[in-house]
Amino acid sequence: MDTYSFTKSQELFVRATKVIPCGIPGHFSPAPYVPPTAYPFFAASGKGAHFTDVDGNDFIDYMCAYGPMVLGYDNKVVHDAAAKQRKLGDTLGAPAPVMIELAEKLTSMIAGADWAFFAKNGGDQTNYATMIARAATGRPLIVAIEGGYHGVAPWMQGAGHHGVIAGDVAGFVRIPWNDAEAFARVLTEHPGQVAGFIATPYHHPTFADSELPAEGYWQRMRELCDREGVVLIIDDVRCGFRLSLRGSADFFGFTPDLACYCKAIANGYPISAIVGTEALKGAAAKVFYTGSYWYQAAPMAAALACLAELERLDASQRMQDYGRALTDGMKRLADQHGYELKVSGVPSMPYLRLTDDPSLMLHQRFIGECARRGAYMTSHHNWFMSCAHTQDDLDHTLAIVEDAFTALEKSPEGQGGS
Amino acid sequence: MSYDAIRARLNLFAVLPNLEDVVRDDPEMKALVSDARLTIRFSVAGGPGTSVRFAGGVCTVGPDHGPPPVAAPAPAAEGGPAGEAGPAVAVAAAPGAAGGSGPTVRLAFTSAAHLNKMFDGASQPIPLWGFNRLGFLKKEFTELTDRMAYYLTPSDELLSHPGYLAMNTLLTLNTAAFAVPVLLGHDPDCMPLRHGLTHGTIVIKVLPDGPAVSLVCGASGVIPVKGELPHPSALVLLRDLPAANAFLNGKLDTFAAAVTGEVQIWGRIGMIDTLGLVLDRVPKYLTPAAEPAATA
Repeated sequence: MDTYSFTKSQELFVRATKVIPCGIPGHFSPAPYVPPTAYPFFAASGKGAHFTDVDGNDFIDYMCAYGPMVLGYDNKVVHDAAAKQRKLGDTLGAPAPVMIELAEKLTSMIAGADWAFFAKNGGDQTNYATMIARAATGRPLIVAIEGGYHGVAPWMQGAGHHGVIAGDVAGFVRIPWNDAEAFARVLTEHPGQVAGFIATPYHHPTFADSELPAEGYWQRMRELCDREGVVLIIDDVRCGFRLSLRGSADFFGFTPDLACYCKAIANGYPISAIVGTEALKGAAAKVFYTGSYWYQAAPMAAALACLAELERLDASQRMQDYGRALTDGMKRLADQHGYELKVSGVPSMPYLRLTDDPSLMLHQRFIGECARRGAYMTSHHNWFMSCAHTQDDLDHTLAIVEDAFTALEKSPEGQGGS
Repeated sequence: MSYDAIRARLNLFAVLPNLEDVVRDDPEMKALVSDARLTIRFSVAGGPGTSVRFAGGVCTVGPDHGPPPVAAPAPAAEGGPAGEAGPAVAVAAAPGAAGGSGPTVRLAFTSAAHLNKMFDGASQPIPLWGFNRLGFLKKEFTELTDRMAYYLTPSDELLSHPGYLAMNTLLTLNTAAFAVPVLLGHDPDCMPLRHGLTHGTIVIKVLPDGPAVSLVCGASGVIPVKGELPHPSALVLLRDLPAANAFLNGKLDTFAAAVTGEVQIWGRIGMIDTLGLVLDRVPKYLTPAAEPAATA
């Protein structure tokens, strides 16, 4: 199987470094791609579950723009809805009625949701959620999970990171995942001080296996929050609609007070949402929170179309099925080649790791070999399935994986294989 | 812990061990101390201490391993993380007590600031023991520390000489590695990062043939080791000496360099991320422009 080269990507990256910090900053930074020579840095176009890089290489995309691409790139239904609204008006002198339609749609879809509020990024909403919790309770502390990711605001990054001062994290207490009793202890140690608890529906840290909630975990957390008057916040930004169209909390059998969404709402159009219970509507109204483009109407129309498509396609089940077929096939191939491939998380957002080398260098080489053959995956972040992945994509991906394992066997030595 | 106290630890445990490399790799310095057989003990009142030993043309820096100190009316010592320091007691060791390395000269410092001023060349210690060895202190040892300072104070012109580039890179690499446990143990910005350095070894190596340092991360802290240990959990490979020097002196956009190949990373990236956050704090203490106000 031929392998790709990335000459133009690398040239563009060098050019970018002259005018942009890091060249490509943030979660798209290729710095954690190991080895970076196995990956494209710049995309030229996308269609369905594929994108083409600036060197003309075609990829089956298992990162899906880190989540937003849920129906496939260049989706006509979503584009048409956005275009129709854009023709009427996009960023206008007042909100468009589509904002109400979208709120009505989300509250009808998501279990326990009575109202909705829109912004642009997931971090806008997780931050807003903590403010609502504090406004509603009059308490200062927010409890979160160690290693839990909720965005890039200072409190979300944690102490010790550049640009974060002690005061930024002073109102936050971190506890281990799946440890309801640790939460109970925090409540005991800080009586009447905890405003909210924020967590993802299951634990999906970077650089580590995903962990599903233990039996009864969420029910116990709900019970503790109810007993102490703590606002239960679900950060469903990453998981949202890939587990259930009624929300990931419903998937795990509980109802949060607030839930944040973003990635899968509008198939790449910029919008995020928070939904909440009637009891918190007043507090949400009192917190002043806004942004220049938060009333942009075209993304709201795109979201309405996207959500309707997700329902029509039974999207959550479809993505779970595809992810299960993909990871089962990969595990089988790994086994045939004498490797152990561990899959964690849910099938629509799997996290994979070759366990044969605890340093992960073997896994990095394996994923790099897949990427340079046209399966776009990353080593240390969960992947994303979409409704656009097809049986042909699955078959071709498994052929790539087979070839990648063979390449590992031909070059079995440690790092530096590029 | 105060800025000066952290800086004093860095001077003792991250900078001073470079004397070993200067004596080993600079023929003039090796000849200078070839006949020396003594131990110079640095002790800060109420703070850390370490020893510099000379024997057989070799210099070793680190805590004493000989019999316990003979007198101990010292201020309370402050503890440190594993690998950071030896016995942090300011006492007068008996001649010959420090591992049999000959007579001991004890240099006492009234405070961490006092020690830091000496490293800045602006103050002198108080010799409490070994007055008969003051000649070595004033001549050979001063010449040796001046040479170390020369290697650690680069200019573009100096770095254009391959020999200087190699020495500056080696000493800067050592300093960075040995600074890690000090900062993780005491710098308020770094202390929350300790959980990010999980069990395993990080190797930082200049390609193709070194130098290298290893950081052994364990439950009790981080232990820096000069050289390359086997079976690393994470690797930072620096393409060549110029790239390594630019990386270590903060002249590279490290995220970009990781992509262009000047810096290659492998293995447990989370550990490398955390290490990067710690190393970014070193210049706060060890550059001429470092300001105490930066660490209130």
